[in-house]
Amino acid sequence: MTSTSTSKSNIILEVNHFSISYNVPYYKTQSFRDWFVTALSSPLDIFFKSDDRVLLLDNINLQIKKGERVGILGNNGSGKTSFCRYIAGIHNCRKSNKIIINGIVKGIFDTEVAIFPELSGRENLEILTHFFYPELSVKERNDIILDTETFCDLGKYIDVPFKLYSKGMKARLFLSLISSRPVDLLILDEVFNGADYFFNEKITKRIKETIQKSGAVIFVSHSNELIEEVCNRVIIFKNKKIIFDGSPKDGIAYYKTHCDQTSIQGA
Amino acid sequence: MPFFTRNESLAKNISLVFTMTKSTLKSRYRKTFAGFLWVILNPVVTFAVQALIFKNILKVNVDNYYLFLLSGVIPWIFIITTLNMTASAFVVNRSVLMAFKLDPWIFILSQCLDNLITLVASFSLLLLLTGDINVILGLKIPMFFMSLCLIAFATFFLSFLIALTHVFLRDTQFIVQFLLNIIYFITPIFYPKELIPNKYQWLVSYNPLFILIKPFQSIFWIYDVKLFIKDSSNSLILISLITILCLYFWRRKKNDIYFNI
Repeated sequence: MTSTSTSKSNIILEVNHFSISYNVPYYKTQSFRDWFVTALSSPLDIFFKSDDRVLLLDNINLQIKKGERVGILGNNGSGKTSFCRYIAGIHNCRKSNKIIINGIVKGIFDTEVAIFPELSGRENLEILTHFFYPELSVKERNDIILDTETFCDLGKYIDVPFKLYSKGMKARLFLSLISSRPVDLLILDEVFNGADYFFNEKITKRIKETIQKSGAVIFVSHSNELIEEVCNRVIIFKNKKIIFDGSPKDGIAYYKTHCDQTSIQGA
Repeated sequence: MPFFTRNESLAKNISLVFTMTKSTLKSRYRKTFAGFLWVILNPVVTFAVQALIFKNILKVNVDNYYLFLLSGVIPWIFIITTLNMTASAFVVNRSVLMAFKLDPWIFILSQCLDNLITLVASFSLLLLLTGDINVILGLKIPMFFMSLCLIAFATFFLSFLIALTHVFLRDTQFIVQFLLNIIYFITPIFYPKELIPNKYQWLVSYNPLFILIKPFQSIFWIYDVKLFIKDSSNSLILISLITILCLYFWRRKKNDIYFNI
């Protein structure tokens, strides 16, 4: 991944000829009869059966400009999260894949992960702040920790072991942290689950404010209402390609009519 | 992508490693009665039991046996504990690696530092108990520091290599445990290497873990500076080989690990 912070261009993200492929192993349960037939017909398969190579995304080209709030729609397994993980720098890019980012990217993909389950929410928050904001000074990080502690409204539960947190309490901590300051490119991948109705209203308001202040946003959700409310552009992944790129309203309509399938792609 | 950077400077990553090490220590000893005492209790008890068995019951005939045992057993505990704890580090931390932009080596280094603290704490305590006055006067401290650096680097890269292999071959963890059990008996840390017949001496000479432990023995047991330089050089050659192997494997597999953990 190439990253520069000096460009004055309006383009925050540029993806050229981007593809993702990976090996998929199958651990199919076989009856003894099936196993016996396989052993007789092709004995080497039992020991040396190779994994399937799956092409998840093929030759994706995309530009995201400053001010754009891009919603990604697509069925389960269409590559939305993997694509976002590459942009966030979680996965390593191959040389042939070019992702150019002008600025700093922050992404949130999982609001339930416990780094140190035995430690308290506050202690995990310290680590999480390190993970999310490595570029900031200690003082800036401490300010974020204080802001998050106040905003998440966990009260005395902030000092309870993280392993005892409910899904919603974890979501409160993560969402409060990620929304504490704007960034050049913010990635939110299906993160509005878990928190209760009242906190959801509070956090949605704050995240919308962060989104407004951020350079650009990639927003992955299966909630069409939320996509329409938050985004000003929608892309749709299907069959390894971007099959739609346009306004949220048209995108949602297109998704409903062209992506009506219940099975996972490639299954 | 090089081994270190993910666009963050090495200094920032090191700061994260220290925070992770502190949290690992806190997490491990939370809710324990003895707390941080366990850091030194485990190696000290292991040392005491081995000393009792080999010196007083089996009557192993070695001069300064406590220093001999100390300079071998404590570094040995550091190596095997780190290798065992980190063998599945990437797989165990899958959810964290898939959720945050992190260099995987951070998990290995923080665990390595955690165990290094144990090594230094228990080694220092036992040295004071065995009464090595040269150390107390500071004459051996620079050499001790060098040996620590050598063993820490080697264990870090070896652990990284094993954890990386474990991602693609899940037998690795079991193979490592199995090999460590065997190597323990052919590593002269609780008996002198002269006890091994000449025709099997190559087992000692090419034992990578013993190569890393030998500098400790040359400082604290034999106290021969020339021997220390020779043993340290051998350690350095071994570290270079492990590092090259580790970086080569990392460069080849770095793009595939996330879909395999």
